[in-house]
Amino acid sequence: MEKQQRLVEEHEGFEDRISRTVLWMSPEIHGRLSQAKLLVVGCGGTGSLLAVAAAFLGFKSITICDGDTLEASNLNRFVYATPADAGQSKAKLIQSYIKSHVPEVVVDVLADPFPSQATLTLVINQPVIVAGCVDDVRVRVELDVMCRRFGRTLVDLGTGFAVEEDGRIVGSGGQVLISRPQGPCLMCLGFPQLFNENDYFAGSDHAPQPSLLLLNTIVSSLALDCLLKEVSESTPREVNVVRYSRDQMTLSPERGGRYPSCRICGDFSASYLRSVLPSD
Amino acid sequence: MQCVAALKEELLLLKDQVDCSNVIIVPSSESWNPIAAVVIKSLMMPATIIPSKVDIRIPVPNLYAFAVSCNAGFIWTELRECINESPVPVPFCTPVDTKILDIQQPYYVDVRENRSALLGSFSICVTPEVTSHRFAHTPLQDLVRHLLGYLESPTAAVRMEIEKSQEVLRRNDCGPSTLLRLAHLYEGIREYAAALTVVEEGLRMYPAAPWLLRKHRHLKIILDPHGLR
Repeated sequence: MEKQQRLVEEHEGFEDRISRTVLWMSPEIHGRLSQAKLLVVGCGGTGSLLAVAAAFLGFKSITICDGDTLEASNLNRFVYATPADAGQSKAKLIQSYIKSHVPEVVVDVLADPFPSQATLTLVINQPVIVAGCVDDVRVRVELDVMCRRFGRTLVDLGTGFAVEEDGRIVGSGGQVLISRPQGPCLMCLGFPQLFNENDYFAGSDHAPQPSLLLLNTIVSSLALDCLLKEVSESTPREVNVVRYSRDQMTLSPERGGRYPSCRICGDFSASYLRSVLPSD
Repeated sequence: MQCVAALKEELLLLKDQVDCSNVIIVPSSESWNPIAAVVIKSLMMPATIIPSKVDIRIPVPNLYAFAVSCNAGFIWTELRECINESPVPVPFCTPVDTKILDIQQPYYVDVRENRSALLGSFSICVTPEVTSHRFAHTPLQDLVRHLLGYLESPTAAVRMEIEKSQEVLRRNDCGPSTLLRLAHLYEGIREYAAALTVVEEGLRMYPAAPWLLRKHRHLKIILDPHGLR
C-alpha cells in the first residue's frame, strides 16, 4: 500500500515537473518521446550532457554504453561529477544522476566499450534511436554500419578544433549528422577517409586534443533537438547535417547526398550490409 | 563490422591468382568481426628476396571493405633483399613490438585476440596509392599483388620515392607532411641521420608541427639511445 502511494506521488511529481515541457511540445509528441528507446553510445563530454538533457526532456528509456572511467582531466566538461568521483564509471555516474533527479526514467548501462555483444543485442532486438557521442571516427563509422544493418537511425555529434599541419588552431565548432537507414551514411556526409593508423603499421601516440564544455553544450543540445525531431517525425527530411561554426557564429542546416559507389549506403550496399552478422 | 560478402569473393580470387600452397582463415570470437586474419601459406617471393617462400598472415581490420582495406601482413622471418649479392634488410619490414600492438589493438581483432602469437613477428606494409578522395577498396588479391611488386626491388622503390619527395621539396611545394614522409622514407632504408636532418629542417619552418616533433624525438632515440650526445 505504501509502495503504491509512493508511486502515485512520484507520478504526480513527474507530471508537475514536465508540465512546462508538455505545454511546448504537445501531449502527442510527449507521448512519442515516452515510448521511444534512446541508446547513447559514449558518455564523455557530449554524451553525458545529452543523456541527462534527454531524461529531462521526456525520454523515459535510456541506455548508456560506455566502458570508460572518469579521469581528473574530464572534469572541465563532465559536469555531473565531482573530483571525488574520479575512477568511477562515467555511464554509472550519469545513471545515478538521472535516477536521483528524474526517477521515472529507466536508465540501463552497458559497461563494455562499443562495439560489444550487449550493444548489438540491444540494437537488434529493440527499436532504438541512437545518439553517437564518441570521438573516434572509426568507432562512429562502425556504429553507423551497425545501425544501418538493423534499420536504426543514428544521430552523430562531434565537436572539435581545426588544427593546421603546423599545429595552429584555426577554427572551432561542431556538427550533427543524421544518418537515416535509407539516406547517406556518415562517410558520404563528410567523414574523412579512414586510413590505417599510418602507412607502415607503425603507430604513434595520440596527443591530447582540446575539449571544452562550451562547444559540447551547444552541440549536444543541437543533437538532442535533432533526436526529438526524428522521434516526432518533424525534421525536414532533406536536412541531414547541421554545422555549428563558433568563429562565424552560424548554424547551417545542409543536405548531404550519398555516393552510388559507397559500400555503406550506395546502390549495392544492401548485400554488403546483410553480410554483417548474417542471420542464417 | 567486417563486410563478409566482400571477403568471401576475394578469398576465392586469392586462391586462384596467388602462387601459394594454401589460404587459411583465422576465425575470431567477435561476431561482428568474424575473420581475424587470412594466412597465405608458402607464398612465393620475388627472386631477389630471401627466403624464397614465406607464410604471411594478413590481419583483417574492423570495417573491412566498408571503409578500410588490409594493408599489412605479419611474417615470421625478416625479409632480406639481395643487392649486389649481399643481403640487406627490406625497408619497412619491421619487428612487431608491444607498442605497435597497443596502438593497433582497437583496429584489428587479430591483435586483440592473438596478441602473444604476433609478438616476435615482423610487419610488412604496402599501401596502394590512393587516387580518390573517397574510399576505394583494395581487395586482398590486389594487396598481395602490390606487395609482391614492391618486393621486386624494395630498396630501389624507396629511393625512387625519396627522389619524388625531394623533387616536391625543390619546387618549394611542401608542408610538414611532405617532410615527414621524406624522413620516414629515409628511416625505412636506415639512413637515420638524413631523416633527422629533414625533420630538423622541417621544425625550423614549422616549429609547432606535432608529427614532426614526435618524429624528431623518435629519431633522436634511435641515433642516441642512451642520450650520450
